[in-house]
Amino acid sequence: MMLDPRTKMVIVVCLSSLALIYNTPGQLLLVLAATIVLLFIFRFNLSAIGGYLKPFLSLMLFLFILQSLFSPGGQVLLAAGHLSLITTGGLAAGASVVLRIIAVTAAAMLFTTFSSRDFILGLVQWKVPYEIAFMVSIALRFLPLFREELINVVIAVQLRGVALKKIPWRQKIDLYRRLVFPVVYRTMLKAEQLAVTMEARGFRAYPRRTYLRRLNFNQVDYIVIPVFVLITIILIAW
Amino acid sequence: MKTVLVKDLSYQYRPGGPRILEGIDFQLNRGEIVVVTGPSGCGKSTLCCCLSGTTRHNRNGIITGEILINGKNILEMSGSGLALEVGMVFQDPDTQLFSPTVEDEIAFAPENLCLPPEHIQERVDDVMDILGIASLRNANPSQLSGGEKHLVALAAVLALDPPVLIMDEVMSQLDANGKQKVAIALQKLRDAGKTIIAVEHNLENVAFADRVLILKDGKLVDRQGDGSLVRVETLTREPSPCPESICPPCQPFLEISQAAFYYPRKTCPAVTGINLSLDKKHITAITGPNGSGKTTLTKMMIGVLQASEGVIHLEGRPLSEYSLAQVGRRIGYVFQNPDLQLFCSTVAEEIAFGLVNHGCQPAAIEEKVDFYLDYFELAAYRNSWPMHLSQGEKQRLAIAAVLVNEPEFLILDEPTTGLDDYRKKLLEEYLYKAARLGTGMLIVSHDLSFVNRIAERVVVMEKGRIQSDSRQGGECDHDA
Repeated sequence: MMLDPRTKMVIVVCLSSLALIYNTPGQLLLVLAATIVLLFIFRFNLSAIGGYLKPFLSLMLFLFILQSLFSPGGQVLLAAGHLSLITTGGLAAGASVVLRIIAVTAAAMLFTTFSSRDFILGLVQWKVPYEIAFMVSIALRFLPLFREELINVVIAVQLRGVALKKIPWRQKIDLYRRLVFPVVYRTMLKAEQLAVTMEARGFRAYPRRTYLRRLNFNQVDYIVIPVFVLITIILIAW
Repeated sequence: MKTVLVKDLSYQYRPGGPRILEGIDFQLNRGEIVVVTGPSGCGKSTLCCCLSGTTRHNRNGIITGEILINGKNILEMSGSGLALEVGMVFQDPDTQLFSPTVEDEIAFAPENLCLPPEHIQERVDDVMDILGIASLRNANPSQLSGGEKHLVALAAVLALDPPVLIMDEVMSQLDANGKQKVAIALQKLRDAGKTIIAVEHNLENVAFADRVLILKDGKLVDRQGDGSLVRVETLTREPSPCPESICPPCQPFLEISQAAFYYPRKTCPAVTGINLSLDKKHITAITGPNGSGKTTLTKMMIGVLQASEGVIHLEGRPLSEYSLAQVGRRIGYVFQNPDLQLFCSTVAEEIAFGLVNHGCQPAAIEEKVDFYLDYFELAAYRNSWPMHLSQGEKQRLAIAAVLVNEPEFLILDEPTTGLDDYRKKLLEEYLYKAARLGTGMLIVSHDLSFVNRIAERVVVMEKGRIQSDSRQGGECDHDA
């Protein structure tokens, strides 16, 4: 379905708001299901979500265990003497945290169904100053850039003969500790160089700028935006 | 009035630091093409940054002297205002390209100039036609080959239409066709009254220039005018008899059978139908136009990219059975962009990294690090941050950091980028020595004189396929 990027941005805001406000696994599952349906409609490669979530798997597992152990309530499933270890309430809270992360990540994937230039055009046509629109777009690019830098470094380290998977944990932690600062510094340096090259190509030479293309709302956009906003308000108020 | 007037220019990156530029004086006329050359690390890129005003972003930098562009003192101008006077194409295209498509990238500058959309489109189309990149219009710049990225970065600045254009080593990674198109474009710009300053190591690439400025240790040591460009000695190796006739067939080290690779969301393969056998006794070179799949193929050979079709064997075992580290211990790989493989905090640490992790004795590590620092003339930067080196120095460091591990086979992707003739010669000598000691080698390069001198076998790729496979001195059998 061809929707204006601004419509997709509204949908992302609606889905993310629901994912952040909802607290039960059932509700969050519904938000996730709706998001997956939308991603399918927008021809997003669903298998790619796994790739995006992979780096967060250990964090999700950690949060799940933490929430399960420390959120009280419900029926006790496992206890050590008088101390309840696992309760149905704890498991629900753990599942909710994990589902929330997955739902928000999946909703954010909708941003990848249009280009970063369309994102800028969308914001600018919503009267956001163009400097801020570019800044937000480039900031969004910073995370993938950092991820890319990390992948490059991990490849480069292995190509120097270091078997990252086989070295002992202590050595591995020490290696990563030594690599973190150079990688962060390198990414910052690249971001700074990008700002310099943008300025060298006349960025901010004038208080306003023109654009090669323009986004235009279609009839379907005028229907989808109010429908999503209305449904979200009703669901939150309900 | 002179278009560019530089008076007693000096620059230090930090107070108390060395003077990277010292007492630079020169002037350029309207409609003149000037080449700036000199050994790597001599201050060429710093000079470009001073002229384009981008050194202002280094708060610790100290600039003295005067730079007038069309009568305006650029040291007193704002950065974005300066862009209307000077356009600069930086050495590393990866730090300049950020748009989702080539068209958006090129449109960025005219959009900043507030041109109406129809004029922006006109400029984008014109620049694409001049540089022959119209077919890349909807491509994502980050997924292009190194040479294509350079062309897009140049196009993005040409679209700004500045009176003065500065190019920091744009030609080095272009194929012959790309170089020719850039040469024609620059000559047209000169005729239109633009002033062009081009940094180049290989003066053959810019034989059409009017003058040459030679920098050494931050000072202008020579100026050559009236079209009398420095003659570059073109050394070509005596054609050797086909090695097949003088040595028995060698055991293949890397063997590629019917290999193909598709990038995600691409219907056309980046490489396809590749059959290639490489041994440890010869130096092989891969050449071919930009975007022909050379880098993709080498990345497949080391397992960074998994072949979509076909199979690659490393000494008889499928490459998929090796981990990246196992491949890395046997094959040393030098990336096209040295930034991708430098990750340590100091130059010495970078060279020692592999040795430390292989458990070598500290004394042996020290000795080897000293040798490579001296050989590649990096000793002065022993404790410097690798990212602060010039592009040529980074290239030397990346090569040293791989060679120090003494791999059985070397793959070098555009190793001569950023290297001056003297350093190319040093690298060449080292590679010869390594080859004589039994290290196999595959070199990807556009530098045909380097390839002719060093390679015994030349594989030419085009549109993802092997077009020819010949030994220096005669055609040999191949499976392509």
